[in-house]
Amino acid sequence: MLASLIIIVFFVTRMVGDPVRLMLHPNATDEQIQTVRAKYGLDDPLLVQFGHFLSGLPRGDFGDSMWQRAPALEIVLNRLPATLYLAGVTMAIAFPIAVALGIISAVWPRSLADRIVTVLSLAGLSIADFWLALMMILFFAEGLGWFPTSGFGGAKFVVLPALTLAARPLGRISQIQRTAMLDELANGYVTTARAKGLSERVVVLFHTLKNASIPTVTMAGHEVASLLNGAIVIEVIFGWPGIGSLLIQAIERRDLTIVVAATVVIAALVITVNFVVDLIYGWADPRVRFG
Amino acid sequence: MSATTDTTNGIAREADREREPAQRRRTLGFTVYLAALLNDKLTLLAVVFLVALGFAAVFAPLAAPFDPMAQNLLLRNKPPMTPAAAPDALPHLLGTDPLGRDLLSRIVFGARISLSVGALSVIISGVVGTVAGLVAGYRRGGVDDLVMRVVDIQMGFPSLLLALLVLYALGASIWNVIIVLAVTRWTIYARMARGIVLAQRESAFVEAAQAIGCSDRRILFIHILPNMLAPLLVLATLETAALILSEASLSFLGLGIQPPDTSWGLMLAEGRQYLRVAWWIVLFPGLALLFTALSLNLLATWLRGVTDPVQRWRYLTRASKTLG
Amino acid sequence: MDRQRSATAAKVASGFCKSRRSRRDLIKQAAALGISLPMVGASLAASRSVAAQADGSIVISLADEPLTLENWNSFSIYGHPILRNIMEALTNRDPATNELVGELATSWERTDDLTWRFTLRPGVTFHNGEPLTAEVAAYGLNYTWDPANGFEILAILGPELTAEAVDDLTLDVKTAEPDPILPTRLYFSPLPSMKQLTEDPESAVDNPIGTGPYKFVEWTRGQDVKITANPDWWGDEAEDAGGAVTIQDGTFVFRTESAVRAAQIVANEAQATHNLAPEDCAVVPVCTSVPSIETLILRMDTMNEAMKDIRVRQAIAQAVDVKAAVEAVLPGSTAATQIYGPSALGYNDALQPYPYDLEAAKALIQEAAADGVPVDAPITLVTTSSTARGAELVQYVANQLQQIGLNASSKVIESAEFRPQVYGLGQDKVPADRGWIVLLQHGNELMDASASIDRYYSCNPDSDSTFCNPDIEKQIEAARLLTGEERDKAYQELGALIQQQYAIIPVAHLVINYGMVANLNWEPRMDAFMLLKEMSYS
Repeated sequence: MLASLIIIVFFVTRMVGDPVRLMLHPNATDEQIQTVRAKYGLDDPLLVQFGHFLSGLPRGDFGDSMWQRAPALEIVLNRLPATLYLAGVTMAIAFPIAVALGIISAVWPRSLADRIVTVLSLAGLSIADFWLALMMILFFAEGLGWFPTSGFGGAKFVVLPALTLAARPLGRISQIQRTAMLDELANGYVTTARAKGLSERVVVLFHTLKNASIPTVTMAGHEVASLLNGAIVIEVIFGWPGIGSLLIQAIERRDLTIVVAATVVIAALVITVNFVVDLIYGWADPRVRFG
Repeated sequence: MSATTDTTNGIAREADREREPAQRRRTLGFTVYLAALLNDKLTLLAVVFLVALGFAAVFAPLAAPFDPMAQNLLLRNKPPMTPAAAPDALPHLLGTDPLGRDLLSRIVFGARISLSVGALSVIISGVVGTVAGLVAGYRRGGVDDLVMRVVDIQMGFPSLLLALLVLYALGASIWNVIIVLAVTRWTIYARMARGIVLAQRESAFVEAAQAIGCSDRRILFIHILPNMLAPLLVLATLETAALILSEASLSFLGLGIQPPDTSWGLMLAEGRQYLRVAWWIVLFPGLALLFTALSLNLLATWLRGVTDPVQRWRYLTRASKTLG
Repeated sequence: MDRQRSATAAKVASGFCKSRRSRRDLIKQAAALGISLPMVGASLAASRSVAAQADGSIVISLADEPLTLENWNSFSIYGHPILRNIMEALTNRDPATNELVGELATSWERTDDLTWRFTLRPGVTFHNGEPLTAEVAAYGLNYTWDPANGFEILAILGPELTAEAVDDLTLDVKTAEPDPILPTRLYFSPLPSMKQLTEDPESAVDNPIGTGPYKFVEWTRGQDVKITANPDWWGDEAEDAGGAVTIQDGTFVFRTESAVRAAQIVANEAQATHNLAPEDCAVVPVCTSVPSIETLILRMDTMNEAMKDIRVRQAIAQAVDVKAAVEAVLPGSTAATQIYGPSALGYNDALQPYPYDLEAAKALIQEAAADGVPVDAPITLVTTSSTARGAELVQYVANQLQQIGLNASSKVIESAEFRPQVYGLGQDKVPADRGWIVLLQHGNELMDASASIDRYYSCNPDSDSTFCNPDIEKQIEAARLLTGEERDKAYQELGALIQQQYAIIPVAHLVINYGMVANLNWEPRMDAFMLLKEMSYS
């Protein structure tokens, strides 16, 4: 599957435009352009280029970045930890809060608390991320001075970008948690447990939570996957040295090898995350495990 | 929506239900839902907002107090309630933008594009995805393998990145944005439709229809499709909200709607440089975006509840009481 | 004492607008006392004693991260703010008077039409220990300007050049055609280390080695570039070093959003930044607006069937209220009458902007239409997203042109698409039915009118010009060879002449807003360099 993806990315990026024209000064002569094309093997027929590309792949060789003159994969992998770190902190903030909110609104459905949680979590889903990011910076960093405005460094630096990114998974996961809990609470075994005189807290915590966690974990996994590709805008605004900001710069300057390498790395991560989610899903749900 | 998909086949005596006159069922359903909606103030508010917005967008030339393109450099970045240049005209209720254009009118006209982008890309991706999922799930075998392989590949491909690459290659325009958004989202519908079909294929009413010799197309579209309309509708509502926001992100990166056309996303993106001096330029389109997406999300949540056999009693009991 | 220096600097560049009240008073006093240039040397000599105890650090926030630190591919606003701290050129400009002064060259003269001879500063060493000799300088210049390399810096047009060493410290630079402004061009071309280029030229990408007051430390991509004071800098002992090292360490960080850069200054996370939006200028403790070498222009496709007619071009020029638009959309910048600013040699003070007259413009269009000119041909206002306030301005102009009855629309395209369609096409390769009016930002880095006129008004098919007039072309060719007063006069006359052709509407001489913390003493330069040796804390 990754292979077909790589093929598609390769050909899509070749469609995007001529990188050499952007590298040279605008008045470069055709000769100069040809020289540079030849240097990067861009004058070969597309299929020959593809052949070169394929032969390098097993060694993890995506070719060198035209601008940075270093192996593209290495450049991308250097940026990976920052992106993973941001995604990790985002989920560490979003997941527990979302689950707690989901439980609150499922235990007291259609109460005032449920209403507030629903509106807030849906608002998180409904807000434009770049707008939220700028507001966060102006309010918490410039206004109150609680956090650095932007940049990469100690623990303080991750707070604002992670909070901004957390809005979406927070909304998604709490909604799923709520629905899943409601489904479970309507089940026969809960009625039985209640009939046996177990307190509501025991019912909620011990019986339903585990079962309801299956769709929640699945959704959390999908959200992690989308964080890996959706953080582009946030990374650009906060000057976060992750794959997203690298990609935007690479696309703008048509640094094709980096675009290909970054896309493949992100795709590989997304596929891995989805695979892990499937594993957890199988482990948590006996019906899947034995089915 | 995954919770709702597997439950439909548990309903008893499907064949009887099929024989029920479709007309009656639909009107009854509609009254019940309407009553339930009237009971749910928050969702009602959301629906009223969406309907009003829809009207304003369709009849934008009537709804907007000014020509959204009329410039006046003397009225640059003026705050809400600034009197208009013409003596007997309405004031600029929400202020003006950097070229002195009326912000309210631009929001109304921006609604046209924002909503069309959201709705059209949802319709295209929904139709394509659902048909692909239906056929894949019903036919199984090679077709299924092929479709699901394509879906899997695309799900691995970062969607914003895919959109960026395609837009850089094709250039930004309204139709390209719509197509790109549709291309990145059809897989969700395909997956869901296929899941439902797989569950329903084995059910009694499909077997009955097959036994009396209905064609495959008839079975798919007359018997199976109606049963997935509810989850589809929920998904489509959620997706509309998400896609309106995606367009905003693309506009931020300069690849969405291009001036002089405008959308809420573009207004936000362009207005962000005036954040400190003219808050209204960013606040009002931002609120329009927030309220629209929020209303759509509220509506989707309510629709999911009201169409879910397990949950619907919560929504309908009070409603049937009012019905008497 | 540093204050005096900066006050003098500010006095000379009287066009600078600043929000720091106390400094403005100082300027007045300075002007009243008649403090003049000799003071600069004195104050520098005094401030040099501070250099020994340089300490402290500064964070500078830039709008864009360079892709490479090779000076020949990364200059102007991308590379020079960082690189000019590390590398030096043969010549530099005095930030106060804007005059060309020596940097790595102590003197230069024109020995014949095609040759310039430079005398190099003795005792200069690169950060890798290599001494600066004429041989080293020649190698670096030839590498940088070699047409076969096709580096981006070649965009700063001029005849081909070759450099050769005469003796240890004497360098001859020969040009293919006479080039009276060669020393000015070389101010834009810092000297690299020959040792580095012969041993490992690729390493220049992320390890720039120069002779400058600061040494490169490290570049963490996506994050920052760090530099530190060079203890062996020649300038510590020289009278004419143009500054003194008082800050030990520098860090450059990158934030694309102007609002974020302003927030960094407010929070004292960064101490200096450039390119603030006028709106963000107000929130930082100190904001200095400096006239830049950048001019915003509207360039017409004069080979278009409608714009071929001079009446249509004149109508377009008169339909745009340049002054009102600049005041509204680009506060701080000044309306332009020429495509190069007052800093350029050959600038004509007497020229007036095109008069704004919608009725006259309408009449001209009707007149042209009556003569069979297809005035309904589509005209598109085009700009790219990185142009200052570009989207707003093209919408404004399109709206104005619609009012005089032209079929005008506007669009903003991405820079990777913009460049190949706008630059280097000459008149030959522009499709006749295109009808573009391009809003673009033109930087006259050489501060000489020739750089702009050769580029935008010549018949040269490899230039960026979409205009060609054989009579004017002859004058351009003649003016190019002149020097001194004659040159100035010739270009002033040319400026008046081409204004009557209505091929380009000059829009605005842009100011660049620099934000900084209150205790930083720094007068930002016109050429966008951000030199730490010109900064100090109080």
